[in-house]
Amino acid sequence: MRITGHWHRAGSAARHPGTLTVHWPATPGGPASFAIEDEAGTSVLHGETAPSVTDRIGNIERRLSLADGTVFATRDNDAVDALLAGLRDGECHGAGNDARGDSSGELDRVAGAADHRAKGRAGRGAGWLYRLESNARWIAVSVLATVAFALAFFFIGIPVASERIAHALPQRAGEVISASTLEFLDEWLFEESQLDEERQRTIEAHVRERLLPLDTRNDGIRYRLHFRDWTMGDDPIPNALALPSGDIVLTDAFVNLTASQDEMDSVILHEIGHIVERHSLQRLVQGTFIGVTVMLVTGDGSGLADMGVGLGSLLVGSHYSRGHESAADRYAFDRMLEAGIDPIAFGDIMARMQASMTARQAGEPQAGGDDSPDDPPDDLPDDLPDGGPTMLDYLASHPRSAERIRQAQRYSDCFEQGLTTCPLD
Amino acid sequence: MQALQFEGRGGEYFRIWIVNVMLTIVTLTIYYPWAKVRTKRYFHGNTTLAGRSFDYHATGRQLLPGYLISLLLVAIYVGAQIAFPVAAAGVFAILALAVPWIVCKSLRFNLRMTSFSTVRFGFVGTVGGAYVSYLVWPALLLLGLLSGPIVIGLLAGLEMQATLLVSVLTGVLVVAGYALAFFLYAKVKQRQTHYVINGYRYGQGRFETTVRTGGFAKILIKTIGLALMMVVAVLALVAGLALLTGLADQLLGLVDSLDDAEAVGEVLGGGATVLVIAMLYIGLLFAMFLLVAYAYTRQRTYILSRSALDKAITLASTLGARRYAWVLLSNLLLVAVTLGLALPWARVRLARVLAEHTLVDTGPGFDDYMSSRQDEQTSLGEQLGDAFDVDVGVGF
Repeated sequence: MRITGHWHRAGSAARHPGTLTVHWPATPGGPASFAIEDEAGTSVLHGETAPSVTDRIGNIERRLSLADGTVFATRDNDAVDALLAGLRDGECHGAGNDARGDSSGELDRVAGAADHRAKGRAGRGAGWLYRLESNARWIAVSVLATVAFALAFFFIGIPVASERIAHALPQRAGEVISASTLEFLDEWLFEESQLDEERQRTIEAHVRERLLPLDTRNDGIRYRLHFRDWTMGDDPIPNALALPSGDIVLTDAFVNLTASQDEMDSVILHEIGHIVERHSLQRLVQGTFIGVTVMLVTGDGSGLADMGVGLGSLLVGSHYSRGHESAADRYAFDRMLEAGIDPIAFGDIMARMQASMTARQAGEPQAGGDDSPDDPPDDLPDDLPDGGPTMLDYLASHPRSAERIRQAQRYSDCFEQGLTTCPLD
Repeated sequence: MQALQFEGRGGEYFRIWIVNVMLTIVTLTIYYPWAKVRTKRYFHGNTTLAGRSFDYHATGRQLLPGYLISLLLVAIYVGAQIAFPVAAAGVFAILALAVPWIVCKSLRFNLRMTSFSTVRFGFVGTVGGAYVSYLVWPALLLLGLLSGPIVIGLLAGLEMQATLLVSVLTGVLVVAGYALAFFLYAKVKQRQTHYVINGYRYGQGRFETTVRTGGFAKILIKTIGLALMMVVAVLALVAGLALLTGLADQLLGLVDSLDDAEAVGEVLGGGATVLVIAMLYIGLLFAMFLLVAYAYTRQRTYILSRSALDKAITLASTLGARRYAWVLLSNLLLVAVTLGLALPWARVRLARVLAEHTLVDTGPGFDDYMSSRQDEQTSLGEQLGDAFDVDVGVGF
């Protein structure tokens, strides 16, 4: 068989048009021979060592390196594939040709037959990767498998793995990551509480005696309750937040906003839910997973790819965060049913915090002034209720208040039927 | 002068890409080095000049040890970040110190593994040179950038009285600091370009560049000017939009009724606000792409026009800022809308645009270039360098 292309002397960039001719063996098991000729038909090289051939990728030029370093390059990929298939089947070519055909006519006849057979098996010479890439069914399977894997990875793999890792770490990890958080908040955000000492002691005693025993998992978490005044501009901020170390902070405005002990309990239980289920650690692990995945997939640290992917990871991150808020809500509802507290209390305090929030926003002429620290540090599972427009729901870190209040109502219905667990809806 | 050509096709590369992704997933990413080789060979092989093509010669097996080590390092870094955040900063600092070494080794490996018309490229820059260009000068630049705050901090420390003289002096020092930083940025660009291009070899041939600090400074001044103009333009656009949608009137009206929570909520949560903020975001995104494209294409044009192989084979870039910005932006949108599935088309499109806007003077010809056997040998250190995948792009 004859392949047209270009040949290079060993190590040289100079390329000359030429042909590679393959003479198939006349006898079974005999060596094939290879000859390169230039355009004028002058022989450049003749040998019996099979060339090493580069893989077929798309339709890029194939390079056949011969024994003395001569390189033959060609775009005739199908012919090269046929050559490779022929070489692989070399041993059985000459079956029935016992006599060594000395005449060139005989050689040509045998070679022609071998060429024909080789061409029939050309697909095999291209390599299995090329065959996968050329097979429509395999491509479809690959697309489906990749999409399914990507979805499963983001919506199941990362959350589950993060949960496992977060729970596998010792509780000390939680203490380490939030070691200086409270100090930081005290320095920059919080003031000393204005609540009278006695009220603080009463709430502490209540939480210790009534709420903490509800956490039966007991991972060795040391809960501590802190009262702080958090004022932004002139507005006291009603909020409760939990640190992975077991510290729970209640702001004065929050304590004053609660109309009953049940309402306060419901929010504290929600915070305990965050701590028990280690949501802060989970978010840390998730963030790392997403970052590493984005880095591996886009393969470049340049900011431009990030801008597109960044929005995606923000969406995914918010999705996880909303999941954690709902999980903490469910934890609180379940404990309330166990303890005999009507879960509607959570709905009531949510509604009131929402109203207070709207009133506070109204106090600022523009959304997000430059001089006020609007957001607490990211790793805090804060509890600012949100009431943004629906368009921004996918960006929200918390489920919409209306939905949370609806859940409180649902659990409250269970409570009124005297149930201690509530079926999932 | 003749332009490079890129002959790959999106549909063809999609098949290669999706099989690579699938095999990488199935093998728990162990296949990644082989996938990388296949991708590089596809892009190199389809880039041609006057009928001669590029090729990439590394094998997956060669890249595997480096890949495994980089995985291990990432795992250590991630683990440290979770367990001991402070230690992670230390690991990061050590990695930063290793960057010049990685740059040097990665260039050596990648260029040796690249051929054109079967002759190998090479890189002869030294590790020491990399530390000067990629650590010492950038560190000076960082100092220059921080000089403003440092001066103010020092003065505050001395507790000098805020007389007019002191204020003027401070102002002069801060301005001088930024001017110094500006000069240093151009200097860093010039040093790095020199390091990379003067280290390039093609067979026995040497690349040489004559880029100067002043050239980069000019580009930087124009980029800063363009940035200011575009920020003004985007703000004007957004202000105009606010007027058109009546949002401006609503906001002004609010000044009198700030205590009315409902009214404020209605305006701030309204469709007009969302629209204006979205426009601001999109406007700034456009501006950002144009700026990045402007700086990149101008530097590319400058560097290629002042670089040549053996002072005979000259280079040029005809890539314009708007064309490049449009390709980047539309590629990003395409990939985002298709959730990544259009990535192969985006890559092929970018490769084609870059190739077709790169000109080479083929007059002197390439026939006399030869590669020696030792060009094909590599050390493990070089393979490790490649694992970190630093893209030392100087416009090739």
